[in-house]
Amino acid sequence: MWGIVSASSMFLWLLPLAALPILFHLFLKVRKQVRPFPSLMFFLQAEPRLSARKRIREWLTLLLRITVIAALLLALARLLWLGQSGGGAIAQVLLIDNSGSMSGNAPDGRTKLANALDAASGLISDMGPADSIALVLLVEDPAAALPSGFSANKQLLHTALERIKITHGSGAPAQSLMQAFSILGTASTARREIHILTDAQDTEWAKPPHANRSPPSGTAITLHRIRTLPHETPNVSVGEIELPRRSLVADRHYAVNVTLQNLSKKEARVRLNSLDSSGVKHSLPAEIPPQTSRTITLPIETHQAGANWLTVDLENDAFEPDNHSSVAFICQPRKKVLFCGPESTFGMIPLAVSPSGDGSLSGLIPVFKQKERSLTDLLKEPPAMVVLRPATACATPADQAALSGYLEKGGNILVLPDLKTTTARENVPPWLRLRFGQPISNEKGQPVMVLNKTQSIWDDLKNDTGEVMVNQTKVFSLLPLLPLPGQIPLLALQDGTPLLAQQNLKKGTLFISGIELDSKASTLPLKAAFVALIHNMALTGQNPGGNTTTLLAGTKPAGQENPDLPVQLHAFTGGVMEWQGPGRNLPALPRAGIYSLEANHQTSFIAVRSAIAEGRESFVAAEKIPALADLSHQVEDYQDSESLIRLVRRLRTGVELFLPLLLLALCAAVAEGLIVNPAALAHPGKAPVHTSIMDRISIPMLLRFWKGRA
Amino acid sequence: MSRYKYLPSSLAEALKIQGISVRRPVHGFQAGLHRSPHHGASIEFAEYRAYSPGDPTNLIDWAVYARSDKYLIRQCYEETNLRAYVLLDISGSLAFRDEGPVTKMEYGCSLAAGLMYMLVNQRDAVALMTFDMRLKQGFAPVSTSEGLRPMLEYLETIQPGGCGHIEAALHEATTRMASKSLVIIISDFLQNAEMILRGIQHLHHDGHNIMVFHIMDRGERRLSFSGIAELRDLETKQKLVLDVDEIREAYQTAVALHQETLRTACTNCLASYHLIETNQPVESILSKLGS
Repeated sequence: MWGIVSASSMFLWLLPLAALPILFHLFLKVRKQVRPFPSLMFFLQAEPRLSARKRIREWLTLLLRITVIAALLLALARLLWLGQSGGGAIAQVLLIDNSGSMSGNAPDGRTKLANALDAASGLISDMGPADSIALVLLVEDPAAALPSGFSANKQLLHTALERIKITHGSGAPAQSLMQAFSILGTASTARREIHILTDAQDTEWAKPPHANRSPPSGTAITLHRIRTLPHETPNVSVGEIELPRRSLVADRHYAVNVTLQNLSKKEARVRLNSLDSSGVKHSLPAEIPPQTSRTITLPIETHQAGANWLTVDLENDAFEPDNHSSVAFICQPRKKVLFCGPESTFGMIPLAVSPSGDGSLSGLIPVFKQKERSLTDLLKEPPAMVVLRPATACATPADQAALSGYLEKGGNILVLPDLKTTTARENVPPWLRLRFGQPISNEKGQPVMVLNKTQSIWDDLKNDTGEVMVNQTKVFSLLPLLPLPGQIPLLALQDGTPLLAQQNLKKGTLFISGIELDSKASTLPLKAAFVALIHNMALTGQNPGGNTTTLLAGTKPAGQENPDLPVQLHAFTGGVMEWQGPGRNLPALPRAGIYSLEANHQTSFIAVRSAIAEGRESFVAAEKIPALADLSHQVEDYQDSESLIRLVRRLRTGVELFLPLLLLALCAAVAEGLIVNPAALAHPGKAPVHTSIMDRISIPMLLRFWKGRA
Repeated sequence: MSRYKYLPSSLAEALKIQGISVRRPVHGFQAGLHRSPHHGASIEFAEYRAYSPGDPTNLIDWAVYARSDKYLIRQCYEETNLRAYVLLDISGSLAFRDEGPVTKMEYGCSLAAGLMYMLVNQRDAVALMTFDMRLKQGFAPVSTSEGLRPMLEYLETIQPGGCGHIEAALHEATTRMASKSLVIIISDFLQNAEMILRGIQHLHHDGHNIMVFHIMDRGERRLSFSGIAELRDLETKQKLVLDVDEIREAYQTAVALHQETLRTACTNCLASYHLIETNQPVESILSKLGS
C-alpha cells in the first residue's frame, strides 16, 4: 500500500499560499536605483558571473520561501506516508467496551456495542495467517466466556464476539489495559497492537491514571472512538434503594425509598416497577422534572423471615442500562416486646405493639413478665424491646446484670416514669439511675414540640412537608426529665422541658419517657403516629445485614475468607448465571439483579444495581485520552469497519511526516536567511545589511501594489 | 584668456610661471629649454671626441691639446623646444560625475587646457588630439598663444560619447606624431590594462616622453552608494543589477589592481603616471607638475 494521506486536509487547501513569494516577487519588486556608471568592467572582473549568480540566488531564495510555506502547510496537514506493508506476524488485543453506555445509539442508528463488535469482527476477518488476536472486555462478563489468550482461529473469535452483550456496569480501563498488557506480554511477535473500541465516555476515560504503566515493547495503542447519538427522549436513572433505618421483621409492611434522577433537559414520565422476593409487584408512575432527582416511596411486605430482596426498574426510559436497582436484606422473625409488669400498668403501649396481640401485621408480640419469672430467663431470648419502670424492674442483681447485658448487645429499653412506686436507688443499675423533676400537672394540657427530627425514630412519622405528626399532642401530667449527658431529647413542652429522650448506651438504646403513655397523661396515645412511634422504638437499631451486600454492576464481590474453597454463584433475577469455582476467581457481576453466593455451606445474597454514571452523555472529545495519559496512544474516530481496517493498515505502515516537514521548513528558513544576507556569514558581528522579504515590504509598497492593481 | 571656459584667467595666471620638463631628449625645431638628442651649441658639456679630418679646427679644445698632445673636439648638448601632443579621451565614460564638482570630461578639458597653456608659455609646440575608439580630432602643433585658441575653443565643444579603445587610438596617434615628442594622455583608462600598456609601449618605443593623467571620480573609486542598483554602462549601455554592498570590496580591489598595473607599466616605460580625482583643483595638480 503506497501513498500519502492527510489527517487535516483543510491545510492542503491553503497550499496555493505557497505561491505568495512569487506574487511578491512579481508585484512587489524591491525598487532599485538606476545609475549610469563609467564602466562595468571592474564588476565583471570581480565576479564574472555576477548577474547570473544574482539571478540564481534570487530564484533560490524564492524557492526556499515557497518551500518554507509549503512545508509548514504540509506539516500542519499531518501527512502520513504510506510505505510498503511490512511483514511479520502481529499480535492484537481488542479491548471492547461493553459498559452500559455502549447501549446508546451510534450515528448509524445501531448501538455503539454493535458498532464495536462490527469493528472487532472486521479486524478478525482482516487477520493474517500468522497473526493472532485476544479479546478483552472493559467490564468483566463471565457470560461472554471469551478465549483466555491469543487465538488465531477466526471462527472461534467470531463466535466469542456473538456472546458479548451489554452490561449495566462501568468499566475499569486501568484493569482491562493491564490485562491486555499481560496477554501481549505472552506474544512472541515483534509487532503488538491494542485496539480499544469504545465511546470514550468520561466515566471511564476522563480520569488520569494513578501510576505510570509500561506496555510490552513495540505496543501500539489505538483508541477507536465511536460517536454517540444524543438521546431523543429523557433518560432517568435509578439510584440506590433506601431501606428503613431499623430492624426489619417478618409479616410487616414497610416503605422503601427509591431515588430517580432525570439527567436530561426534558421532563421525564416513567413508570417504576418493583418486584420483591415474595413475588409481589408494584408499579408507580413518576414524573421527574429536567435535571432533578425525585424520591419515590414504594411499599414492600416482608412475608417471611430470612433473606428478602427487592428489585426495581423503569419503563418508558430512553436508556436502559441505568434503569435497574435492587437490594437484599434479612428479615427477622416476629419479635417479643417484654413488659416488666402487669398489662394494665402500661397504658396504650401493649395495644400499640400489637393490636391483635399475636404479632400479626406488626411482627411484634407483647409479653408480660410475671412476678415469679426472673428477668434473666426472659432475656435469654432477646426481645425487641423491654418496657419497664426503674423502681420495679430490677428486683435482683441477676436481673440487673441480665438487663445490662441485653442493652449492651443492642437491646432497646423503654423506661416509664415511677409516679406511684418508690424503690431504693440501690436496686437500680447505674445507667438506669435517671433523674426526674417535680411532677407537673395541667388539666387543660400543654402542647409539645418535636426535637431532633432527624433521629430515625421519627422516620415514619413525617408528612409530605417533613413535619412530625405528633405536634398537636397535649400533655396533662408528667415528670420532667432532668438532662443527663448523652441524652437526646425527642419531645418537650413548649418551654423546653423534655418529656421523652433517647440515650445510646453501647449497642443498645434507652428511651426515657417522662409521661405515662396512656390517654390520661397525654393525648399522644390517641394519635395515629403513636403506633409507629412505639414500633420505631422497638425496632430501633441496624437491620442485621448478615449475609447481604449491595454492589454496583461490574464489580467483584468481596474476597472470601478462604479463597481456595469452592464457591457457587447463582442469579435470582437479572439474567441467567451459574458459576462455580474457587473463591479467588469470583467473577465480577456485570448486570443488575439478585445473586446468591454459597460458600462453606453458607448462603449470602448480593444485590447488584446498575451504574448511574453510564447514563451520562459526556464523552472525551480530545485527541488524547486522560486515562491513557501515561501511554503513547492514538485516537481515531470510528466510522465503519472498512474504514477502520484501512486505517489500521495505514497505521501499521505509515510514517508521520509532521516532524520531517517541520524540520524542512526550519532548514529552508535558515538557508533563506543566509542566502538573503550572506554578509551575516562573512561577518557574523556586523549588523545585517539586508533583511528578509518581509522586512522589505513596507506599507507604502503595499499601497503602491494595491493602487497598481486597481 | 579669460574667455575660455577651461582656461580661466586665474588658472592662466597661476600657470604662467610653471613649466614642464621631460626626461628623454626631444626633437625640436628651434632652440628651447629641452635637451635634444643632438649635440649643439649649448653651454652644457656632453663629451669629447677625437678630431677627424674635415672637422672645423675651431672646435678643437686647445687647452686639452696642450695637456695631452691630442686633438679633441669638445661637444655640448643641443637645447631645443619640444613638440607635445595632448591626447584627450572623449569616450562616453568621461561623462560620469558622482562626488566630483565636474564630470571627468570637463576636468580632463581643464587639465588639457592648462597643460597646453603651460607648454606654449615655455615656447614649446603643443597639439591636441581627441579620441574615443580612434582619433577624432587632431590639431597641428602650435607654439603661440594665438595658435592655441582654436584648440581651447574646440575643448568647449566636446561632448563625450561612444566607446573608447585606448590602445587603437594610441597606435593611430603614433603615426601622426613627430618622433621624440612629449605625449600627454588624459583619460579614465577604462580598458583592459594590458591593451592600454601595448599602446603606451608603442609610444615609448618611438622615443616619446609620456605623461599619463588617469582621471577618476572619487565616487567611482569608492563606490559610494549602496543597496540594489541597476548600473548602466555609459559607453556600451550594458545593464547590470547588483547588490553594491556585496560587490564593493571586490570592486575596489579590482580598481586598485588596475591602477597599480597602469602605474607599473608607466614606470617601465619611463612614463610619469598621475592618478587624479576630479575633486582635486586643476591648479594644484599642474603646479605640482611644474615644480
